[in-house]
Amino acid sequence: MTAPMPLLAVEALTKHFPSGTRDKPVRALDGVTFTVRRGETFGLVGESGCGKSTCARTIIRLYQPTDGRIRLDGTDITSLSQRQLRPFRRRMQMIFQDPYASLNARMTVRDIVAEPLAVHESALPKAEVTERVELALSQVGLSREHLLRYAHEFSGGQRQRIGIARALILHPELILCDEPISALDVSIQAQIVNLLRQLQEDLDLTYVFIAHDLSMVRYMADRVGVMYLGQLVEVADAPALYSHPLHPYTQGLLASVPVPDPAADLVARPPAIEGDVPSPIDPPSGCRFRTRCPLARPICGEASPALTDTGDGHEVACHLYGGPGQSPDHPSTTTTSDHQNHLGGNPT
Amino acid sequence: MNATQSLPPDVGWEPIPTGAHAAAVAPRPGRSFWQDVWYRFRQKKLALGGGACLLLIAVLAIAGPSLTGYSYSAQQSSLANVPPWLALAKLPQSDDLFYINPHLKVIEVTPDGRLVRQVTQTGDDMVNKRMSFDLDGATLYLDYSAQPPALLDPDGQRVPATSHHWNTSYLLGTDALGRDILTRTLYGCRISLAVAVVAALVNMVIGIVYGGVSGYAGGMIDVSLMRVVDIISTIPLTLYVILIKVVLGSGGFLSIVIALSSVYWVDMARVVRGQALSLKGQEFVLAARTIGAGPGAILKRHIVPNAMGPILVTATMLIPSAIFIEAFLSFIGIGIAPPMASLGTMCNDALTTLRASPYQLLIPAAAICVIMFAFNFVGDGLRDALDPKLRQRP
Ligand SMILES: Nc1ncnc2c1ncn2[C@@H]1O[C@H](COP(=O)(O)OP(=O)(O)OP(=O)(O)O)[C@@H](O)[C@H]1O
Ligand SMILES: [Mg+2]
Repeated sequence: MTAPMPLLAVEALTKHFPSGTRDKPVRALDGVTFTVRRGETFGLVGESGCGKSTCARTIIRLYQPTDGRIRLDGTDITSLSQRQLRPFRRRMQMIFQDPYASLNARMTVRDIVAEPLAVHESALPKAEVTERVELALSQVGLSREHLLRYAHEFSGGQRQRIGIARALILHPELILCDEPISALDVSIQAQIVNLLRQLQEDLDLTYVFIAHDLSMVRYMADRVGVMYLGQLVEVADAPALYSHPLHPYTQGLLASVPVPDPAADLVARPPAIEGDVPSPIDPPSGCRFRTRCPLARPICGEASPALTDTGDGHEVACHLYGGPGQSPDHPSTTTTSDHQNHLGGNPT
Repeated sequence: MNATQSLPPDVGWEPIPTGAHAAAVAPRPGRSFWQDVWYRFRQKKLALGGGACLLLIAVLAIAGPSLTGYSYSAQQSSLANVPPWLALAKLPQSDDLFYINPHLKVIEVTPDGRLVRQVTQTGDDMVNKRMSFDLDGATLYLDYSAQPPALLDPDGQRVPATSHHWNTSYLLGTDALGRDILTRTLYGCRISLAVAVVAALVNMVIGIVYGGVSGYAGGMIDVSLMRVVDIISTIPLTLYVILIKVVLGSGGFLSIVIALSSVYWVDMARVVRGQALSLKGQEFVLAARTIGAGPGAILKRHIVPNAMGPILVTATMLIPSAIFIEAFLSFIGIGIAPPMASLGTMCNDALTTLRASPYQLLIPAAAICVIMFAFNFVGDGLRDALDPKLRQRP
């Protein structure tokens, strides 16, 4: 690519966990490749257990990657020691899913938000720390009257704001948001999403925004990656992904998004995906989605489809596209509607 | 605002004056976890009582021995085996009263309960079961032909011990060697509390650090550190004490302290390890790691404070058991060496005169019970206060 250097580049990132019972590892993350440009929001979507958290935690080096590369602003941080990693930790922060578990219940808000300063700027005088904490709190819509309170005195939304303030205080460039809103009330979700968007505008932040359904990232993401069982199956600009999803899994996910207007639901929509996610210890051969794919063909069990560009940076990993017997200039939109007819024709 | 003004008058609501809001949002410190714990702990009368009791014992044990006027080792064999509660006989020829101890020694006691002296024995007529004593030149007879033994008045009549008085010279009486039991009990409590302090320190320092490091580090470090713990905990503490006694050449308090410090932290280490294992996967610990905090900082700031509940509960169970171990070891003779007073040695000493002077056993035994009960009550209260969910008992 000749585009400016991406802020984050993940190449064939793989993370296997030892699985207690068998010799086979848990393939939580298997060869994930994507890039995140400075200033954009990259949405990462997939069902529970598909490896989204593992992906974020491996990027931020909470987990040591089994294989692959992580580049932050061009620097390979994959095998840096924790000590060498420290300057990079300032530039990369994380917001966690559970606002109750991500704040230490024994610490005051001030100490929680000031913790990054205690690690990275331990020489800072106390008054200045308090000042910085107050600034960070005001950025997330909390005030100094909350400084001496404990986390359990706050609502979920407020707690998530405290977590965001902690992530902001070191002025990072990249923030990994691991399902920051899925534990919150719907009304609060919008507030937090708006806050994150506002902060992105004000502070030039780059986000990797994780969610388990596509509706949540719709208003946040510039580009979206769809994950299934430890692999990316489709990456595209958000408008393209929502208007003409290519991968049968993405289509199924979109079908499962609830529609605000019940009348709209009466229009023929492809059914949601059925069946359970296979175990990441024993993923299906070839395409991992084939066991649940309504369009699976023999080749799907033989070869694992690679993520290939179908044009305009719309990448998909599926044998329906660019595979043998497929004309290279086959317009993707037609293909999509084809599939949707297929899916729509499926009885259930 | 307009809405408030247009409320119907009968609602009874009034707009708040503008200043009131500012006061309501003024910074106030939140109630921390520990304030909550203290609040719940205060509700427990038994636990508060236990705490007060421990405090009292501690003050008495530290200050007490210098106030009783006796040393723990000074023997007054003429006043041996005198109980705290005296049954006294009044004789017409003396203003003072007389106490006959179980070994047929006659002790002169002032009317306010002070022991004056042991009356000198001059003869023992075994046939008539009558002893003679020299009381300031006059002869005094003690008849032990019938139970209980009694003094005889000048007419040869038995004088029953009718009046009773508290022993004001030795408030808790004397033991078989004539040592003050109160002083010795206080010394014993002092040793028990010293053992408690040693056990607490060892648990709080070695146990927490060892368990925390093991659990947080995980992997091979955890496995090897825990094998060491397994090995240590399979050998009984008694054996350590005996071995240390052999190595040191002398025994006593030091060998118990060394034994406790070298092995008594293993239970705590296990508890802290378990806590560290479960806490290290929590998101707030992950958050600290993404920030770049080192393992030491994470243990100190996140793991140990969050494990404090189980740590305190474990400590309040381990401390009384350490006290009991010391008393037991001293009782069977491999703990505190003789002139020193431990509640365990006192119990052992009392065994020989148990039938005649049961108070010599009851007093140190009661002291052990009170200390252990107090610690257990405090521990129970602490556990309930730390984990309100555990409180639902029938
Ligand atoms: N530390 C670990 N050890 C072993 N297996 C793990 C570990 N962490 C995650 N896994 C496994 O890896 C897979 C992916 O987990 P991950 O938490 O990344 O999913 P997720 O997409 O974030 O799901 P969710 O939406 O529920 O958060 C799961 O099968 C999980 O069981
Ligand atoms: Mg997750």
